[in-house]
Amino acid sequence: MIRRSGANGRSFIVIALALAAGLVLVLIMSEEPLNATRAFFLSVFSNRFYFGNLLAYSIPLILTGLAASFAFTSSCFNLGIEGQVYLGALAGTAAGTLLFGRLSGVAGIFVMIIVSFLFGATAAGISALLKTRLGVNELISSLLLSNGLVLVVDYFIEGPLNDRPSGLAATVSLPDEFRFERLMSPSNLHSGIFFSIVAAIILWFFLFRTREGFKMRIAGMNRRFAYYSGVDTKKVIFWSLFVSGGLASTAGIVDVIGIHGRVMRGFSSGYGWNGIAIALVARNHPLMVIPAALFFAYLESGAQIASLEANVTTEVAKIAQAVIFFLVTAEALIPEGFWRKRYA
Amino acid sequence: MSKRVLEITDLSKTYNVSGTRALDGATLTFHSGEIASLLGENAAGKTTLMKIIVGIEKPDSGSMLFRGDKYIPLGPSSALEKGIGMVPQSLKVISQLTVFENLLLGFKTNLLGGAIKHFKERIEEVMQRYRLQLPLDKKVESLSTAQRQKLEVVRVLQNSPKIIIFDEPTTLISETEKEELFETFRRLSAEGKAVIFITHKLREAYSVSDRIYVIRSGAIIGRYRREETSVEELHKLVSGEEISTDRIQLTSSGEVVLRVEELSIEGSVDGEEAVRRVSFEVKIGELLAISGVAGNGQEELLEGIFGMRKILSGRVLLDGKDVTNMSPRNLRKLGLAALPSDRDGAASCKTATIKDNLVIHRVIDGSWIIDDIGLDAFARELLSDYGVVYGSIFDPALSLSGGNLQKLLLSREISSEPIALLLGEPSRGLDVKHLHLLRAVLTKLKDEMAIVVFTTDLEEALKVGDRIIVMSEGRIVYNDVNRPGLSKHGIGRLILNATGERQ
Repeated sequence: MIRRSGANGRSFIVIALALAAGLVLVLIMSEEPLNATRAFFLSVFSNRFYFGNLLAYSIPLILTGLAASFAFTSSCFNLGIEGQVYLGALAGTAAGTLLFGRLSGVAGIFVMIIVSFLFGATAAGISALLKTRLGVNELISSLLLSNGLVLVVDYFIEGPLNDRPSGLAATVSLPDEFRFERLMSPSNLHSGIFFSIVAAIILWFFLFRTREGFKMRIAGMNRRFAYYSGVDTKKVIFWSLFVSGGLASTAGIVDVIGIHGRVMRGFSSGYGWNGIAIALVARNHPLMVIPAALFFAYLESGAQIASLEANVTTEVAKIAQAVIFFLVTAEALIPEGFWRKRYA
Repeated sequence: MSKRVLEITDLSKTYNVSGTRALDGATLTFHSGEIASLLGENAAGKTTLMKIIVGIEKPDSGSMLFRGDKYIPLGPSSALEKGIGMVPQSLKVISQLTVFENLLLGFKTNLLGGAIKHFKERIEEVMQRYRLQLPLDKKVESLSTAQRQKLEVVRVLQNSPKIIIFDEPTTLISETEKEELFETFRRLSAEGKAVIFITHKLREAYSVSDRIYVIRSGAIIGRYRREETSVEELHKLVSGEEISTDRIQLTSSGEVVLRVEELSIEGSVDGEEAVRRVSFEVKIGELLAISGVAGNGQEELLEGIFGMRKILSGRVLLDGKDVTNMSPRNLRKLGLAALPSDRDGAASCKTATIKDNLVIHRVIDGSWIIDDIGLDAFARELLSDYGVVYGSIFDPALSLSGGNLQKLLLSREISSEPIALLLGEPSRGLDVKHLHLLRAVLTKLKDEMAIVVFTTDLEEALKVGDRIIVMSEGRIVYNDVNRPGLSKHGIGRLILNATGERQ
């Protein structure tokens, strides 16, 4: 197993600094600082509606966080998560619309998730093949491909799949049978949360308890060593990006099935990038992704509540998230030896 | 007359992670204008002591006096400012930058045009004074290991230190380069600097030092001026055993297991031929040693045979089967094992645990779900069989000392019970005692498998090899049975006559 003694301490500091940044911003921007602080940090725990929404918001973030972690574990960079989430939402919704009347609720949802997974996985798989066959950097190819996909999905939302009577920039709605059950009404929380938690547990088991997961982790730490030791590193690269893209897409469809019931233009904006930041905070550990995603959802919810109750703009959450992103990517700021126990 | 520059009193250090007591009341003194060696086995505490002197590690107890004043270093750069510089074992240079740019990295004043020019003059003066000529405008990636080492020395010297520490500097360089390095030592000490030479190589320590400290289990157990001791006495002290200079005995040789025909292998640059039309065969019971100055294709040859580098032409036959350009995975299945000489980059994964480094082949050949209990037991048994000193099998491999890592890697490759074994620099980093162990293991193993040892140390090749091949510029320039009386110089002369131009 990989030793992660340093990870927790450092992630803790990062989170504390992000909260401090949030606090400072709230204090500066609000005319009623006390009320704003309370609204930002505490209101979310004050009723079922706020708290349920927090949990609901964490569901897609857990999945995109897992998607990013899975690719990072094998040292591959999937920067196309944004596009894959969006594509997965559209493909799954389209499948749901076609399947209406032919399948029961549970089976329908199951097929929608599978279809969605395959679409995102294929998108990321293209980047993987470009990398292993032609040596194209997956970081660039996945990002560019994803940006293109967003436009294609937009076309389908505005065009063939548009819900014309409503006049919205959205697809037609899914039938009620193909929706997750609400858990904490009146909040948005839905049973998709079990899906994301089970996904995290399965990934953890896969990475730390199975042969293929072992290969993936070793290939991520030292690809040349892995190849020399008999790991087919091209296969590892392909499957890690394939699964990463698929997971990202399920984030999109689960959010649609659970909350919106249809794909609205731009509804998933930010899920992908936040997923990457979550993976970084969680040090790519699948189980750590859950608390990291909850924390991101907490910041987002806090900002929204504060904007309702205390006239603070929601950009506060964005800035606090940016602080996290900055700190985790700038690891060099905190000397390594400060956290990790030293070795001879 | 030499003065005391650094007095170390009763230093102790225990590592929390593994509970290893790395230093146990070490007391010693270094003098200006002297070359002092710190001689000891793997994991005797040499590196820890040096890390404390330059401030990378903090001691648990004990004190240091530098030029009579209390000395508490905060880190390598503060130590260097005070006048103590270290040339580390693994060189910390950036290969994409030029030599001069690398030197600039340590330069603290702001970089106005005049300052750079002045700095360049200073560097040139340092190079002149100590005769360390370096091509300042060349990229570091085109430099040899010895030249990179010189770069580190120049970097340290431009800060005019009083003490310069060399951590195992002779591990990666050739015989001639070693002589040059020792010449530098002498020049430095003649300038009144204290040179500290950390090594596990007895003869080197003896030949160059004015003063020798022997360290064992974290304590200084011997303090000598050079004229007070002998190689034999040092050896007894270092390892607690008598020296035996006998070569591994030739055994009867059996069938050919590995045959290489007219092999050409790609170098690091596309299309470059690092190995050119090389042919040889290895029989069971006959140990083949491939030697020559580092960088003449030996490393590429090993990697090419083992599927880690592209074979441009020619064939590799394992047990009669054509295995040219096969992947390492398939080669392992057919019974070939190899240990590349690139330890950190290919042969091990330093950030992974000791266990993962050991069991990787078992995992890959094993069941879908990992049998952790079985693997833990396997790892612990193997480590104790080969006498590897470690804290916990879940510590990262980088917690091991160089020699212990070496033993771990050897044990891993041997435990796969191959029919042919390629070993890149198996003796690198091993001290006298473990060298003997290694030779004994090889003698035993060669009855069961064909072994090829790749070593740039020709003397080592002559000690272990039944047949010697010497490579130069990718070609075989010498290939003959190892006879008694064959010497380094003898082979050198033969090669010189054959090629006619190389010096």
